[in-house]
Amino acid sequence: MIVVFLLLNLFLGYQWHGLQPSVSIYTEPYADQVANLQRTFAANNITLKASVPLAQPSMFLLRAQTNPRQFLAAAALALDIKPQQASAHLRGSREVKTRAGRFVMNEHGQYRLYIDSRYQPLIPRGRDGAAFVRKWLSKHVIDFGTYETLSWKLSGGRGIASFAEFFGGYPIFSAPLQVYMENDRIIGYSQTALEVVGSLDQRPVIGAASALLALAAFVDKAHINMDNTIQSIRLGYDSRLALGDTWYVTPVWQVDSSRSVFEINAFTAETGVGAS
Amino acid sequence: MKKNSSLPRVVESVKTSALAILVFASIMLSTLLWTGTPGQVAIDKPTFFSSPLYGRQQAAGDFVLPQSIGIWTRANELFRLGGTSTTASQIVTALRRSRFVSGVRRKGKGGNISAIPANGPYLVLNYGNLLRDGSLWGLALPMQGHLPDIPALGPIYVTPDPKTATCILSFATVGGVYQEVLRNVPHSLFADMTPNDQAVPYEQIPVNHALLHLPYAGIMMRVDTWALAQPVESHIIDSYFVDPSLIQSVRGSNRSTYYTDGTHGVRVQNGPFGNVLTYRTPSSPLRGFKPSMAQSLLATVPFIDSHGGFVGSDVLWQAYGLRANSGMELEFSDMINGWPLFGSLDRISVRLQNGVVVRLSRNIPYLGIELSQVRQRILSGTQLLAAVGAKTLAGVVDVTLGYGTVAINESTVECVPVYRLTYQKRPPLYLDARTGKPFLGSGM
Repeated sequence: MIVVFLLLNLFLGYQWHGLQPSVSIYTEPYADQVANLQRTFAANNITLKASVPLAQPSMFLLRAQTNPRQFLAAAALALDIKPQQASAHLRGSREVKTRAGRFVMNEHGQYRLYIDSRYQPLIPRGRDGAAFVRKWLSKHVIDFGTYETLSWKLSGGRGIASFAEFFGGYPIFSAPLQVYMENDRIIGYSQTALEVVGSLDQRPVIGAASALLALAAFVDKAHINMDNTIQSIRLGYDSRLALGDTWYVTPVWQVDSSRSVFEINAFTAETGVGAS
Repeated sequence: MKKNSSLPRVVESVKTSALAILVFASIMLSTLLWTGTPGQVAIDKPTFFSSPLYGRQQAAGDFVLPQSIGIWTRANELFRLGGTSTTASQIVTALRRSRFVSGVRRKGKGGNISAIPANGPYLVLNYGNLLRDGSLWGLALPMQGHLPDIPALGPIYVTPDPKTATCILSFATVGGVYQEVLRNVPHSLFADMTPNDQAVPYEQIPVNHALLHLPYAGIMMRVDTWALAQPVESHIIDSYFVDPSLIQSVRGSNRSTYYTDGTHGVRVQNGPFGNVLTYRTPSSPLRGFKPSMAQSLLATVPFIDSHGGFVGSDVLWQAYGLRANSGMELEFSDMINGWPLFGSLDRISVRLQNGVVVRLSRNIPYLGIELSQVRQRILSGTQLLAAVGAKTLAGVVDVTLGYGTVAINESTVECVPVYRLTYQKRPPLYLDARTGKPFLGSGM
């Protein structure tokens, strides 16, 4: 018995030793992974100037819906009127108009606020500006508590602040809130408010390094050789397919570059070009 | 006595301990091997789940064929060959075996220079708008010496010289005419320029400043009845998704069903011949990137091959760039006996963005087995123009003979000869080629 088990252990030990080189490829040091990616991208004139996240969480395929029934409530909040007054200012079924501005809903249930020039709030210059905008939004945007800042592009008193609804700590890029600013004033916003009604098929996502390799394969296959710089990589949910008022949003790695925004499906590694 | 009896016991306990350690070690090593083997990492997976093809695989160059070839004889008579006819294939093959020597651009303004040869015999290769950006020359006529990527704004004229085994290709291009000299032209080309039974006598008829090419006499054409082939729908739908386990379905209005995994969407909707499939994967244009027609075709053919495949005798019928978003549209159509099949049956419409297919539309059923055929006489070009009258002809820029479709029942279709009148500012009009009356077909 001792001899049999000794031989078995020798065999298993040999197998385990043979496995180590392939295991070491999969646990390649982070620095080597980034160096490999930079070399791969260089072949297509792409520079990687972003840190590559290491997180590889389990995520869902989300079923989400717009909620046209909360249109009047959203309009009342945006135009600073009482909810019961909103229906009195209705024009057709998708527009509420007051002296303060117009609040419109399109056929996909997305909102747009146009503030009359006399009522456009003045944004204080300096650090207080962002805090002021957030405070104003908390009073004029429905469900603003579920939104977080994505980007803030303001120069010369003009720009766009982008927010996204968050689910489980990740932004839903299909549910953006964009605030438009001109002459240091908020002139309006557009909002896609999605309500997550189901989370399906939980599974681990691919890593950012794998997603970037999929992107490298995509640009190589499509012969995209223009100079480009990758500026940021982040994980979130997105879908650009609205089926009536229903959306299925899938985990994506969003790669922001100087040319465009690329999206890599974090379940399947399929790559496409998202909205800039 | 005591010492002697304890020794075997000590040996036994050592052996037992050693065995226990070895058993434990084997369990540990087995566990390490089981859990330590690396799994598959999803990097550049095979592009799409491949469904059983219901068509056949083809190379991209097989689709870039002339829609028709005109033969002008020495006696200035015109004959038409279907682009997929045997003789037309032989002509194209002969040209592909030639060698490009040189090309020259002749500049001209206001039509003072023409690509059309002064006298017959010569050939007119009608590629529609496929050579408009010049990138498809290498697939249309791949030959030794490589034709340059010069945009062709009209048909290609081929004037042969049997004595020197050369040809001159001429065509209108931006700002004038381009002429190319081909050498080592196979002699079969000159033989194929003699009209045979596949060549239909045609004539040129001037209408509204346009020169229409129509049958000279009332030829006999087949009226065919076909059974529709019904491939397994779920296989084709699955083929559009990398991981079919992620597919979610939503019932829509108009008896339609949507399938999506969040990235791709497939809509299946009832149409005149059964279900129509529309695939979408929205994508934004990439700034400064505009793939050519050739790049688009090279991306489209393998995509269709792995998503249901081609059916019938498909050819690339149209290709045009979208100015609004730098995309590209390609349209594949079937040919029956060398004549184009008009309407939506067996047509595959594809939109590309950034060199990737982002939209595809096709009927799931397709022409399967020919059940019966009868031969009927159609109107000649002159008879047709006399039958339709001046009001219908106002604004006409082209008239093409082909086939239209009538759904007899859910599984049978009749293909009828029709004339398609193309207008500059309104949708095309289809006329029954046997009577000249408006053709009320299915999916037209």
